[in-house]
Amino acid sequence: MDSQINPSHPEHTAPSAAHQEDVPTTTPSTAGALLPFFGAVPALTVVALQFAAGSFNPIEFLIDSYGSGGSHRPEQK
Amino acid sequence: MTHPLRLTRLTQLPLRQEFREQLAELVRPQVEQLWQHPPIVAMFVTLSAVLPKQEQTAKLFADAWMLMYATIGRLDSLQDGDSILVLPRVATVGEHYNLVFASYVFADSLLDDLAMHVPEGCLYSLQRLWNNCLLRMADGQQQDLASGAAPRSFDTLAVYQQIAQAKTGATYALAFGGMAMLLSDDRELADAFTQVGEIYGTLIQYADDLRDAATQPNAALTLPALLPFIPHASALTPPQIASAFWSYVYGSYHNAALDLLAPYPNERDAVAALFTAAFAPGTPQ
Repeated sequence: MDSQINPSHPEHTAPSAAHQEDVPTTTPSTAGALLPFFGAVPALTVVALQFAAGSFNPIEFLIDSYGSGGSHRPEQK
Repeated sequence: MTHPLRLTRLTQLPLRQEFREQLAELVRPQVEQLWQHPPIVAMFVTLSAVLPKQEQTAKLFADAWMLMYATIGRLDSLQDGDSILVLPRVATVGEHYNLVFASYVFADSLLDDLAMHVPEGCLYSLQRLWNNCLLRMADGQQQDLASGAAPRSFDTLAVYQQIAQAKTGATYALAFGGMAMLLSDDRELADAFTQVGEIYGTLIQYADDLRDAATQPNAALTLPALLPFIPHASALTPPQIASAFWSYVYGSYHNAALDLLAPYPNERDAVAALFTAAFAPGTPQ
């Protein structure tokens, strides 16, 4: 399964304000059965690769996390 | 005075009293719960505040959206076999499904009342957006229901996003886009808000999955189940990876949302505050 889906494709496909129903709303997919992503939502695979590639510094995270007294996740109910 | 669930509409139809009561039993607890859900409350407060004030129009749409969302939530619970705390007084699951069908039709019919408040073309556009988003939600649910036994890898993140975006992203795209469409004449603003809503809703799904990791069945395709496939620094424990990855994803999505609203500084500031209120550290969701 190809994860190289271009997240910055200019042709957004969100359910736009419904004025364009005759305009194709999907981008060509290179991922076989996998449909293209929609609109401006960043691709999670790309974000994950950026995360792993060094944009994220675990030392800074640990310092930030403990220093601020908690994580960045939403707290549980 | 409008009934909180606008059930008075049903009294105008030749429906059995028992059916009306069953329908009310189905939707009331879930709608009331949704009206107390902070990301939803904050969303409608923000959208109502930042868009030109038309209180009755906003309320009519919010009521319809809320009932739709409650209905979809009940359908999801039935399909997943979740325990449901407040059951309608019905004898069979078939009756329960039929009430869900009726509840959706009721939600959709509430949009009719907007005809007294907005131009016909605007209402048509809203109904088209509504149906487009609901079809995407149905597609996402179908994919979700069928995804349980599939092998998983890093690329499964793309499938997971597809489902999250189709189900929850489209739901919130409808809320944001619908409100903007009804309360503003600016089509580009409505388009931007639709996409911002999709980002907001997708983030809500990610956050819910991370929060509910311990209670999810093993077969469920959720973000926590896919975190082991993300290359990461081995210095961190799994909870720290989850926390760090959430922080990173949130930053990316937050920035993408604000970029969409760059031409609209007031709306951009309001959405920035909304994201902070809904997702920032220490804020209950």
